[in-house]
Amino acid sequence: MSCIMVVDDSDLSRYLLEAILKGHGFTTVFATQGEEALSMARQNPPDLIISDILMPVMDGFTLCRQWKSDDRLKDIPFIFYTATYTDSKDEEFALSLGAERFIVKPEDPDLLLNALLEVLADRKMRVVLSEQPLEKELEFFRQYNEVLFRKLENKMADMEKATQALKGEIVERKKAEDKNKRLNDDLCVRNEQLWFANKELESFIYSVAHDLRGPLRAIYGFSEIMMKDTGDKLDAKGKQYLSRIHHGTEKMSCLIDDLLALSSTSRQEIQRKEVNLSAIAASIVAELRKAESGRSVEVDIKGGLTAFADPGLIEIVLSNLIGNAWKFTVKTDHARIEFGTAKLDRKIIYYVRDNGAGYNQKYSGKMFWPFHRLHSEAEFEGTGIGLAIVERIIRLHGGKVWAEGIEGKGATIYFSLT
Amino acid sequence: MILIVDDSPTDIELTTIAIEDTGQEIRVLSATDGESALAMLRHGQGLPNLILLDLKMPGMDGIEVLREIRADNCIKEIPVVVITSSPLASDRSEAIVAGASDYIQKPLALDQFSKELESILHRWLPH
Repeated sequence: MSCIMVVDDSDLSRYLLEAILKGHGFTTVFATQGEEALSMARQNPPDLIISDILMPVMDGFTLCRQWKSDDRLKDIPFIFYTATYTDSKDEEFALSLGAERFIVKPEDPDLLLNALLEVLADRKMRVVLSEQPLEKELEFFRQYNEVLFRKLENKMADMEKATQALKGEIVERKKAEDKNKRLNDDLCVRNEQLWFANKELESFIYSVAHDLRGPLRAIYGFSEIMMKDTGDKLDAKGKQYLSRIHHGTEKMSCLIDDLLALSSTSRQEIQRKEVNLSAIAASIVAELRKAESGRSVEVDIKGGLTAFADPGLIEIVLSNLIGNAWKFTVKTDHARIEFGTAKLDRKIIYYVRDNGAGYNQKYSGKMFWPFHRLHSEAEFEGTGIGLAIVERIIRLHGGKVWAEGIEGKGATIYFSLT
Repeated sequence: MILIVDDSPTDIELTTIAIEDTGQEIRVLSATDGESALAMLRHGQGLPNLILLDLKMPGMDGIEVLREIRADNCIKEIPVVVITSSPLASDRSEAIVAGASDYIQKPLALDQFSKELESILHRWLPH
Protein backbone atom coordinates (compact mmCIF):
# COMPACT_ATOMS: atom_id res chain seq x y z
CA MET A 1 0.00 0.00 0.00
CA SER A 2 1.46 3.32 -1.11
CA CYS A 3 1.69 6.22 1.26
CA ILE A 4 0.85 9.60 -0.22
CA MET A 5 1.89 12.87 1.44
CA VAL A 6 -0.51 15.76 0.80
CA VAL A 7 0.78 19.32 1.40
CA ASP A 8 -1.88 22.02 1.29
CA ASP A 9 -2.76 24.91 3.57
CA SER A 10 -6.45 24.59 2.74
CA ASP A 11 -8.43 22.28 5.00
CA LEU A 12 -11.01 21.71 2.30
CA SER A 13 -8.45 20.67 -0.27
CA ARG A 14 -6.80 18.29 2.17
CA TYR A 15 -10.17 16.81 3.00
CA LEU A 16 -11.14 16.26 -0.64
CA LEU A 17 -7.82 14.63 -1.49
CA GLU A 18 -7.96 12.45 1.55
CA ALA A 19 -11.37 11.24 0.47
CA ILE A 20 -10.21 10.40 -3.03
CA LEU A 21 -6.96 8.76 -2.02
CA LYS A 22 -8.32 6.73 0.82
CA GLY A 23 -11.15 5.65 -1.44
CA HIS A 24 -8.54 4.11 -3.73
CA GLY A 25 -6.64 2.34 -1.03
CA PHE A 26 -3.79 4.79 -0.42
CA THR A 27 -2.64 5.79 3.01
CA THR A 28 -2.17 9.53 3.49
CA VAL A 29 -0.13 11.88 5.60
CA PHE A 30 -0.73 15.64 5.67
CA ALA A 31 1.32 18.83 6.01
CA THR A 32 0.07 22.45 5.74
CA GLN A 33 3.30 23.96 4.34
CA GLY A 34 6.70 23.07 2.87
CA GLU A 35 8.90 23.06 5.93
CA GLU A 36 6.60 20.78 7.81
CA ALA A 37 6.37 18.45 4.83
CA LEU A 38 10.19 18.23 4.56
CA SER A 39 10.78 17.37 8.18
CA MET A 40 8.00 14.79 8.15
CA ALA A 41 9.29 13.14 4.98
CA ARG A 42 12.89 13.00 6.21
CA GLN A 43 11.73 11.01 9.22
CA ASN A 44 9.28 8.90 7.28
CA PRO A 45 9.58 9.09 3.50
CA PRO A 46 6.28 8.67 1.60
CA ASP A 47 5.92 6.95 -1.79
CA LEU A 48 4.66 10.16 -3.42
CA ILE A 49 4.01 13.80 -2.58
CA ILE A 50 1.20 16.00 -3.82
CA SER A 51 1.74 19.68 -3.09
CA ASP A 52 -0.03 22.98 -3.52
CA ILE A 53 2.03 26.05 -4.59
CA LEU A 54 0.92 28.98 -2.48
CA MET A 55 1.40 28.21 1.18
CA PRO A 56 2.68 30.12 4.22
CA VAL A 57 6.28 29.72 5.55
CA MET A 58 7.54 27.62 2.62
CA ASP A 59 5.77 27.53 -0.74
CA GLY A 60 5.50 24.56 -3.09
CA PHE A 61 8.31 25.63 -5.46
CA THR A 62 10.83 25.93 -2.60
CA LEU A 63 9.65 22.64 -1.21
CA CYS A 64 10.10 20.95 -4.58
CA ARG A 65 13.62 22.35 -5.02
CA GLN A 66 14.73 21.19 -1.60
CA TRP A 67 12.93 17.85 -2.07
CA LYS A 68 14.72 17.16 -5.33
CA SER A 69 18.09 18.14 -3.92
CA ASP A 70 17.71 15.89 -0.90
CA ASP A 71 19.39 12.54 -1.62
CA ARG A 72 16.91 10.62 0.44
CA LEU A 73 13.84 12.27 -1.10
CA LYS A 74 14.75 13.10 -4.68
CA ASP A 75 13.56 9.80 -6.13
CA ILE A 76 10.13 10.18 -4.57
CA PRO A 77 7.71 11.51 -7.24
CA PHE A 78 6.55 15.09 -6.72
CA ILE A 79 3.19 16.22 -8.11
CA PHE A 80 2.02 19.82 -8.10
CA TYR A 81 -1.72 20.06 -7.63
CA THR A 82 -2.62 23.69 -7.68
CA ALA A 83 -5.29 26.25 -8.43
CA THR A 84 -2.80 29.10 -8.68
CA TYR A 85 -1.79 28.16 -12.19
CA THR A 86 -1.64 31.33 -14.29
CA ASP A 87 0.42 30.51 -17.32
CA SER A 88 2.61 27.91 -18.93
CA LYS A 89 5.71 29.41 -17.34
CA ASP A 90 4.59 28.09 -13.93
CA GLU A 91 4.38 24.58 -15.28
CA GLU A 92 7.72 24.85 -17.08
CA PHE A 93 9.32 26.13 -13.91
CA ALA A 94 7.76 23.41 -11.77
CA LEU A 95 8.94 20.66 -14.12
CA SER A 96 12.38 22.22 -14.35
CA LEU A 97 12.65 21.86 -10.59
CA GLY A 98 12.22 18.12 -11.07
CA ALA A 99 8.50 17.72 -10.44
CA GLU A 100 6.97 14.76 -12.25
CA ARG A 101 3.57 16.30 -12.92
CA PHE A 102 1.81 19.63 -12.81
CA ILE A 103 -1.94 19.24 -12.43
CA VAL A 104 -4.38 22.11 -12.32
CA LYS A 105 -7.38 22.09 -9.93
CA PRO A 106 -10.15 21.28 -10.22
CA GLU A 107 -9.18 18.12 -12.05
CA ASP A 108 -11.34 15.12 -12.61
CA PRO A 109 -10.48 12.78 -9.69
CA ASP A 110 -9.94 9.91 -12.14
CA LEU A 111 -7.39 11.85 -14.13
CA LEU A 112 -5.58 12.80 -10.95
CA LEU A 113 -5.55 9.20 -9.90
CA ASN A 114 -4.31 8.02 -13.30
CA ALA A 115 -1.49 10.50 -13.18
CA LEU A 116 -0.68 9.37 -9.69
CA LEU A 117 -0.62 5.69 -10.66
CA GLU A 118 1.49 6.44 -13.74
CA VAL A 119 4.05 8.29 -11.72
CA LEU A 120 4.17 5.50 -9.16
CA ALA A 121 4.61 2.88 -11.90
CA ASP A 122 7.41 4.92 -13.47
CA ARG A 123 9.10 5.04 -10.17
CA LYS A 124 9.00 1.27 -9.82
CA MET A 125 10.56 0.95 -13.24
CA ARG A 126 13.26 3.43 -12.37
CA VAL A 127 14.04 1.47 -9.27
CA VAL A 128 14.41 -1.66 -11.37
CA LEU A 129 16.60 0.16 -13.89
CA SER A 130 18.71 1.66 -11.21
CA GLU A 131 19.63 -1.81 -10.21
CA GLN A 132 21.80 -1.88 -13.35
CA PRO A 133 23.29 1.57 -13.03
CA LEU A 134 26.19 1.16 -15.46
CA GLU A 135 24.05 -0.27 -18.21
CA LYS A 136 21.43 2.38 -17.65
CA GLU A 137 24.02 5.10 -17.75
CA LEU A 138 25.58 3.69 -20.90
CA GLU A 139 22.19 3.48 -22.54
CA PHE A 140 21.46 7.02 -21.45
CA PHE A 141 24.71 8.24 -22.94
CA ARG A 142 24.16 6.20 -26.08
CA GLN A 143 20.75 7.73 -26.58
CA TYR A 144 21.98 11.10 -25.53
CA ASN A 145 24.81 10.79 -28.06
CA GLU A 146 22.40 9.72 -30.75
CA VAL A 147 20.21 12.68 -30.09
CA LEU A 148 23.18 14.99 -30.09
CA PHE A 149 24.53 13.39 -33.23
CA ARG A 150 21.22 13.74 -35.01
CA LYS A 151 21.02 17.32 -33.95
CA LEU A 152 24.59 17.89 -35.10
CA GLU A 153 23.86 16.19 -38.41
CA ASN A 154 20.85 18.39 -38.93
CA LYS A 155 22.90 21.42 -38.01
CA MET A 156 25.64 20.35 -40.46
CA ALA A 157 23.08 19.88 -43.22
CA ASP A 158 21.62 23.30 -42.46
CA MET A 159 25.06 24.84 -42.51
CA GLU A 160 25.91 23.08 -45.75
CA LYS A 161 22.74 24.48 -47.29
CA ALA A 162 23.53 27.95 -45.97
CA THR A 163 27.08 27.69 -47.33
CA GLN A 164 25.81 26.61 -50.74
CA ALA A 165 23.34 29.47 -50.78
CA LEU A 166 26.10 31.85 -49.77
CA LYS A 167 28.40 30.50 -52.47
CA GLY A 168 25.64 31.04 -55.02
CA GLU A 169 25.16 34.54 -53.77
CA ILE A 170 28.89 35.25 -53.93
CA VAL A 171 29.02 33.97 -57.51
CA GLU A 172 26.02 36.12 -58.41
CA ARG A 173 27.57 39.13 -56.77
CA LYS A 174 30.88 38.54 -58.49
CA LYS A 175 29.04 38.30 -61.81
CA ALA A 176 27.19 41.54 -61.09
CA GLU A 177 30.43 43.21 -60.07
CA ASP A 178 32.19 42.01 -63.23
CA LYS A 179 29.30 43.26 -65.31
CA ASN A 180 29.41 46.60 -63.53
CA LYS A 181 33.12 46.85 -64.09
CA ARG A 182 32.73 46.02 -67.77
CA LEU A 183 30.02 48.64 -68.16
CA ASN A 184 32.15 51.12 -66.30
CA ASP A 185 35.18 50.37 -68.48
CA ASP A 186 33.02 50.70 -71.59
CA LEU A 187 31.76 54.01 -70.32
CA CYS A 188 35.30 55.23 -69.66
CA VAL A 189 36.41 54.24 -73.15
CA ARG A 190 33.37 55.88 -74.72
CA ASN A 191 33.89 58.95 -72.63
CA GLU A 192 37.46 59.16 -73.78
CA GLN A 193 36.45 58.66 -77.41
CA LEU A 194 33.86 61.36 -77.03
CA TRP A 195 36.38 63.67 -75.46
CA PHE A 196 38.82 63.15 -78.34
CA ALA A 197 36.07 63.51 -80.95
CA ASN A 198 35.03 66.73 -79.29
CA LYS A 199 38.60 68.02 -79.16
CA GLU A 200 39.13 67.07 -82.78
CA LEU A 201 35.97 68.83 -83.83
CA GLU A 202 36.87 71.93 -81.89
CA SER A 203 40.37 72.13 -83.26
CA PHE A 204 38.92 71.56 -86.73
CA ILE A 205 36.47 74.43 -86.28
CA TYR A 206 39.23 76.57 -84.87
CA SER A 207 41.63 75.82 -87.74
CA VAL A 208 39.00 76.30 -90.40
CA ALA A 209 37.90 79.58 -88.89
CA HIS A 210 41.48 80.69 -88.57
CA ASP A 211 42.64 79.61 -92.01
CA LEU A 212 39.59 81.02 -93.73
CA ARG A 213 40.56 84.48 -92.63
CA GLY A 214 43.77 84.48 -94.71
CA PRO A 215 42.17 84.23 -98.17
CA LEU A 216 39.40 86.54 -97.01
CA ARG A 217 41.90 89.22 -96.10
CA ALA A 218 43.50 88.77 -99.50
CA ILE A 219 40.17 89.23 -101.30
CA TYR A 220 39.29 92.21 -99.17
CA GLY A 221 42.78 93.73 -99.20
CA PHE A 222 43.38 93.43 -102.93
CA SER A 223 39.90 94.62 -103.84
CA GLU A 224 40.61 97.61 -101.61
CA ILE A 225 43.91 98.24 -103.39
CA MET A 226 42.15 97.87 -106.72
CA MET A 227 39.53 100.41 -105.71
CA LYS A 228 42.21 102.84 -104.59
CA ASP A 229 44.67 102.39 -107.41
CA THR A 230 42.40 101.78 -110.36
CA GLY A 231 38.97 102.86 -109.10
CA ASP A 232 38.88 105.94 -111.33
CA LYS A 233 39.10 103.65 -114.37
CA LEU A 234 35.98 101.72 -113.34
CA ASP A 235 32.45 102.72 -114.25
CA ALA A 236 29.64 102.89 -111.69
CA LYS A 237 28.77 99.20 -112.19
CA GLY A 238 32.37 98.09 -111.70
CA LYS A 239 32.61 100.12 -108.51
CA GLN A 240 29.37 98.58 -107.27
CA TYR A 241 30.71 95.09 -107.90
CA LEU A 242 33.83 95.90 -105.94
CA SER A 243 31.75 97.24 -103.09
CA ARG A 244 29.70 94.03 -103.09
CA ILE A 245 32.92 92.01 -102.88
CA HIS A 246 33.72 94.10 -99.82
CA HIS A 247 30.37 93.51 -98.17
CA GLY A 248 30.52 89.81 -98.90
CA THR A 249 33.92 89.44 -97.33
CA GLU A 250 32.90 91.56 -94.34
CA LYS A 251 29.93 89.33 -93.75
CA MET A 252 32.05 86.23 -94.04
CA SER A 253 34.56 87.70 -91.64
CA CYS A 254 31.77 88.18 -89.07
CA LEU A 255 30.70 84.57 -89.52
CA ILE A 256 34.22 83.36 -88.94
CA ASP A 257 34.62 85.52 -85.85
CA ASP A 258 31.42 84.08 -84.43
CA LEU A 259 32.47 80.55 -85.29
CA LEU A 260 35.74 81.12 -83.47
CA ALA A 261 33.90 82.55 -80.50
CA LEU A 262 31.56 79.56 -80.42
CA SER A 263 34.42 77.11 -80.57
CA SER A 264 36.29 78.96 -77.86
CA THR A 265 33.34 79.00 -75.45
CA SER A 266 33.16 75.23 -75.46
CA ARG A 267 36.89 74.96 -74.83
CA GLN A 268 36.68 77.27 -71.88
CA GLU A 269 36.59 76.24 -68.25
CA ILE A 270 34.26 78.26 -66.10
CA GLN A 271 35.46 80.13 -63.05
CA ARG A 272 32.57 81.19 -60.87
CA LYS A 273 32.42 84.35 -58.84
CA GLU A 274 29.70 86.50 -57.35
CA VAL A 275 28.56 88.56 -60.35
CA ASN A 276 26.38 91.66 -60.36
CA LEU A 277 24.10 90.91 -63.30
CA SER A 278 22.17 94.17 -63.01
CA ALA A 279 25.36 96.21 -63.36
CA ILE A 280 26.55 94.19 -66.36
CA ALA A 281 23.16 94.55 -68.04
CA ALA A 282 23.17 98.30 -67.41
CA SER A 283 26.61 98.73 -68.98
CA ILE A 284 25.59 96.67 -72.02
CA VAL A 285 22.53 98.87 -72.49
CA ALA A 286 24.70 101.99 -72.12
CA GLU A 287 26.98 100.71 -74.90
CA LEU A 288 24.01 100.00 -77.16
CA ARG A 289 22.58 103.47 -76.52
CA LYS A 290 25.95 105.01 -77.34
CA ALA A 291 26.24 103.07 -80.60
CA GLU A 292 22.70 103.96 -81.70
CA SER A 293 21.95 107.22 -80.01
CA GLY A 294 19.02 107.85 -82.37
CA ARG A 295 16.93 105.05 -80.90
CA SER A 296 14.54 105.41 -78.03
CA VAL A 297 14.14 102.19 -76.08
CA GLU A 298 12.60 101.85 -72.64
CA VAL A 299 14.81 99.53 -70.61
CA ASP A 300 13.81 98.05 -67.27
CA ILE A 301 16.59 96.24 -65.40
CA LYS A 302 15.66 94.70 -62.08
CA GLY A 303 18.08 96.02 -59.45
CA GLY A 304 20.42 93.94 -57.30
CA LEU A 305 20.43 90.81 -59.43
CA THR A 306 23.46 88.67 -58.66
CA ALA A 307 24.60 85.18 -59.60
CA PHE A 308 27.48 82.85 -58.87
CA ALA A 309 28.83 82.51 -62.39
CA ASP A 310 31.80 83.12 -64.68
CA PRO A 311 31.88 86.93 -65.07
CA GLY A 312 33.34 86.97 -68.60
CA LEU A 313 31.01 84.30 -69.93
CA ILE A 314 27.91 85.71 -68.27
CA GLU A 315 28.68 89.06 -69.86
CA ILE A 316 28.70 87.34 -73.27
CA VAL A 317 25.30 85.81 -72.44
CA LEU A 318 23.73 89.10 -71.40
CA SER A 319 25.35 90.97 -74.24
CA ASN A 320 23.87 88.50 -76.74
CA LEU A 321 20.41 88.45 -75.17
CA ILE A 322 20.11 92.19 -74.63
CA GLY A 323 21.78 92.82 -78.01
CA ASN A 324 19.16 90.59 -79.66
CA ALA A 325 16.33 92.35 -77.84
CA TRP A 326 17.79 95.67 -78.99
CA LYS A 327 18.10 94.44 -82.57
CA PHE A 328 14.64 92.88 -82.81
CA THR A 329 12.87 95.97 -81.45
CA VAL A 330 14.35 98.27 -84.08
CA LYS A 331 11.05 98.37 -85.98
CA THR A 332 8.87 98.53 -82.84
CA ASP A 333 7.18 101.84 -82.01
CA HIS A 334 7.48 101.83 -78.24
CA ALA A 335 10.40 99.50 -77.86
CA ARG A 336 10.75 97.99 -74.42
CA ILE A 337 13.39 95.64 -73.00
CA GLU A 338 13.16 94.03 -69.58
CA PHE A 339 15.74 92.06 -67.61
CA GLY A 340 14.35 90.37 -64.50
CA THR A 341 13.84 87.18 -62.57
CA ALA A 342 11.06 84.73 -61.90
CA LYS A 343 10.77 81.55 -59.88
CA LEU A 344 10.34 78.10 -61.34
CA ASP A 345 10.26 75.02 -59.11
CA ARG A 346 11.57 77.19 -56.28
CA LYS A 347 14.65 78.06 -58.40
CA ILE A 348 15.50 81.52 -59.63
CA ILE A 349 15.35 81.92 -63.38
CA TYR A 350 16.43 85.01 -65.27
CA TYR A 351 14.80 86.43 -68.35
CA VAL A 352 15.31 89.04 -71.03
CA ARG A 353 12.03 90.17 -72.59
CA ASP A 354 11.29 92.45 -75.50
CA ASN A 355 8.23 93.58 -77.41
CA GLY A 356 9.94 93.33 -80.79
CA ALA A 357 9.60 91.10 -83.82
CA GLY A 358 9.10 87.91 -81.80
CA TYR A 359 9.12 84.60 -83.63
CA ASN A 360 7.00 81.62 -84.48
CA GLN A 361 6.95 79.40 -81.38
CA LYS A 362 7.02 76.40 -83.72
CA TYR A 363 10.71 77.04 -84.35
CA SER A 364 11.75 77.83 -80.79
CA GLY A 365 13.77 74.61 -80.50
CA LYS A 366 15.91 75.53 -83.48
CA MET A 367 16.84 78.99 -82.36
CA PHE A 368 19.69 77.72 -80.14
CA TRP A 369 21.34 75.76 -82.97
CA PRO A 370 24.44 77.31 -84.48
CA PHE A 371 23.76 79.23 -87.72
CA HIS A 372 20.00 78.83 -87.37
CA ARG A 373 18.10 82.01 -87.89
CA LEU A 374 14.40 82.64 -87.51
CA HIS A 375 14.48 85.89 -89.49
CA SER A 376 15.82 86.65 -92.92
CA GLU A 377 19.06 88.48 -93.38
CA ALA A 378 17.16 91.28 -95.11
CA GLU A 379 14.89 91.71 -92.06
CA PHE A 380 17.52 91.56 -89.34
CA GLU A 381 21.28 91.18 -89.63
CA GLY A 382 23.06 88.37 -87.88
CA THR A 383 24.95 85.12 -88.21
CA GLY A 384 22.80 82.86 -86.05
CA ILE A 385 25.59 82.13 -83.64
CA GLY A 386 24.68 84.33 -80.68
CA LEU A 387 22.06 82.10 -79.08
CA ALA A 388 24.15 79.00 -79.74
CA ILE A 389 26.93 80.62 -77.73
CA VAL A 390 24.43 81.58 -75.02
CA GLU A 391 23.18 77.99 -74.88
CA ARG A 392 26.71 76.64 -74.55
CA ILE A 393 27.65 79.02 -71.78
CA ILE A 394 24.45 78.31 -69.84
CA ARG A 395 25.04 74.58 -70.30
CA LEU A 396 28.63 74.99 -69.03
CA HIS A 397 27.10 76.53 -65.90
CA GLY A 398 24.76 73.57 -65.47
CA GLY A 399 21.73 75.69 -66.35
CA LYS A 400 19.08 75.69 -69.04
CA VAL A 401 17.89 78.22 -71.58
CA TRP A 402 14.57 78.35 -73.37
CA ALA A 403 12.39 80.84 -75.17
CA GLU A 404 8.83 81.99 -75.50
CA GLY A 405 7.65 84.20 -78.26
CA ILE A 406 4.74 85.43 -80.34
CA GLU A 407 5.30 86.56 -83.89
CA GLY A 408 5.14 90.34 -84.04
CA LYS A 409 4.61 90.68 -80.28
CA GLY A 410 8.03 89.99 -78.82
CA ALA A 411 10.16 87.29 -77.25
CA THR A 412 11.33 86.24 -73.82
CA ILE A 413 14.49 84.22 -73.31
CA TYR A 414 14.67 82.47 -69.93
CA PHE A 415 17.76 80.95 -68.40
CA SER A 416 18.88 79.34 -65.17
CA LEU A 417 22.46 79.14 -63.96
CA THR A 418 22.62 75.96 -61.90
CA MET B 1 64.57 97.19 -91.09
CA ILE B 2 61.56 94.96 -90.36
CA LEU B 3 61.38 91.15 -90.55
CA ILE B 4 57.96 89.72 -91.39
CA VAL B 5 57.52 86.07 -90.44
CA ASP B 6 54.36 84.61 -91.99
CA ASP B 7 53.64 81.32 -93.75
CA SER B 8 51.34 83.04 -96.26
CA PRO B 9 53.14 84.94 -99.07
CA THR B 10 49.89 86.80 -99.73
CA ASP B 11 49.79 88.00 -96.14
CA ILE B 12 53.45 89.04 -96.40
CA GLU B 13 52.60 91.05 -99.49
CA LEU B 14 49.57 92.69 -97.82
CA THR B 15 51.58 93.49 -94.70
CA THR B 16 54.33 94.96 -96.86
CA ILE B 17 51.79 97.14 -98.69
CA ALA B 18 50.30 98.22 -95.35
CA ILE B 19 53.78 99.21 -94.14
CA GLU B 20 54.40 101.14 -97.37
CA ASP B 21 51.03 102.85 -96.85
CA THR B 22 52.25 104.25 -93.56
CA GLY B 23 54.52 106.42 -95.66
CA GLN B 24 57.69 105.36 -93.92
CA GLU B 25 60.72 104.25 -95.83
CA ILE B 26 61.51 100.92 -94.29
CA ARG B 27 63.37 97.92 -95.62
CA VAL B 28 61.27 94.79 -95.31
CA LEU B 29 62.64 91.23 -95.05
CA SER B 30 60.49 88.16 -94.86
CA ALA B 31 60.54 84.50 -93.90
CA THR B 32 57.77 81.98 -94.47
CA ASP B 33 58.56 79.67 -91.57
CA GLY B 34 60.01 79.77 -88.07
CA GLU B 35 63.26 77.91 -88.78
CA SER B 36 64.31 80.13 -91.67
CA ALA B 37 63.36 83.23 -89.65
CA LEU B 38 65.65 82.12 -86.81
CA ALA B 39 68.42 81.27 -89.30
CA MET B 40 68.13 84.74 -90.81
CA LEU B 41 68.32 86.33 -87.37
CA ARG B 42 71.31 84.26 -86.25
CA HIS B 43 73.37 84.21 -89.45
CA GLY B 44 72.01 87.07 -91.59
CA GLN B 45 73.71 90.39 -92.14
CA GLY B 46 72.44 92.90 -89.63
CA LEU B 47 69.56 92.53 -87.19
CA PRO B 48 66.07 93.94 -87.91
CA ASN B 49 64.72 96.73 -85.71
CA LEU B 50 61.40 94.97 -85.41
CA ILE B 51 59.92 91.55 -86.04
CA LEU B 52 56.30 91.10 -87.14
CA LEU B 53 55.50 87.50 -86.26
CA ASP B 54 52.50 85.44 -87.33
CA LEU B 55 51.37 83.06 -84.62
CA LYS B 56 49.86 80.24 -86.59
CA MET B 57 52.37 78.62 -88.90
CA PRO B 58 52.94 75.01 -89.89
CA GLY B 59 55.94 73.39 -88.24
CA MET B 60 57.47 75.71 -85.69
CA ASP B 61 54.68 78.08 -84.68
CA GLY B 62 54.95 81.72 -83.66
CA ILE B 63 55.03 81.03 -79.92
CA GLU B 64 57.99 78.65 -80.35
CA VAL B 65 59.85 81.16 -82.52
CA LEU B 66 59.19 83.79 -79.87
CA ARG B 67 60.60 81.58 -77.10
CA GLU B 68 63.71 80.83 -79.16
CA ILE B 69 64.28 84.53 -79.75
CA ARG B 70 63.83 85.41 -76.09
CA ALA B 71 66.25 82.65 -75.07
CA ASP B 72 69.00 83.76 -77.44
CA ASN B 73 71.23 86.49 -75.95
CA CYS B 74 72.23 87.89 -79.35
CA ILE B 75 68.69 88.56 -80.56
CA LYS B 76 66.52 88.65 -77.47
CA GLU B 77 66.36 92.48 -77.32
CA ILE B 78 64.60 92.83 -80.69
CA PRO B 79 60.98 93.91 -80.25
CA VAL B 80 58.58 91.26 -81.53
CA VAL B 81 55.04 92.26 -82.46
CA VAL B 82 52.74 89.32 -82.81
CA ILE B 83 50.27 89.44 -85.66
CA THR B 84 47.34 87.17 -85.20
CA SER B 85 44.20 86.65 -87.18
CA SER B 86 42.52 85.11 -84.15
CA PRO B 87 40.13 87.39 -82.27
CA LEU B 88 40.65 85.35 -79.12
CA ALA B 89 42.14 87.07 -76.11
CA SER B 90 43.64 83.76 -74.97
CA ASP B 91 45.90 83.62 -78.04
CA ARG B 92 47.15 87.13 -77.36
CA SER B 93 47.79 86.53 -73.68
CA GLU B 94 49.75 83.38 -74.51
CA ALA B 95 51.93 85.44 -76.82
CA ILE B 96 52.50 88.14 -74.21
CA VAL B 97 53.48 85.51 -71.66
CA ALA B 98 55.94 83.99 -74.18
CA GLY B 99 57.62 87.40 -74.51
CA ALA B 100 55.80 89.33 -77.25
CA SER B 101 56.30 93.09 -77.05
CA ASP B 102 52.91 93.88 -78.59
CA TYR B 103 50.22 92.40 -80.78
CA ILE B 104 47.94 93.31 -83.66
CA GLN B 105 44.83 91.45 -84.70
CA LYS B 106 45.00 91.45 -88.48
CA PRO B 107 41.97 93.46 -89.56
CA LEU B 108 40.08 92.81 -92.73
CA ALA B 109 40.51 96.28 -94.13
CA LEU B 110 43.95 97.19 -95.38
CA ASP B 111 43.71 100.90 -94.50
CA GLN B 112 42.86 99.97 -90.92
CA PHE B 113 45.80 97.56 -90.82
CA SER B 114 48.02 100.32 -92.08
CA LYS B 115 46.80 102.67 -89.35
CA GLU B 116 47.46 100.12 -86.65
CA LEU B 117 50.89 99.37 -88.08
CA GLU B 118 51.71 103.06 -88.06
CA SER B 119 51.20 103.31 -84.33
CA ILE B 120 53.13 100.07 -83.78
CA LEU B 121 56.08 101.37 -85.81
CA HIS B 122 55.94 104.63 -83.94
CA ARG B 123 56.08 102.80 -80.65
CA TRP B 124 58.83 100.28 -81.45
CA LEU B 125 61.11 101.72 -84.11
CA PRO B 126 63.94 104.09 -83.12
CA HIS B 127 63.19 107.65 -84.17
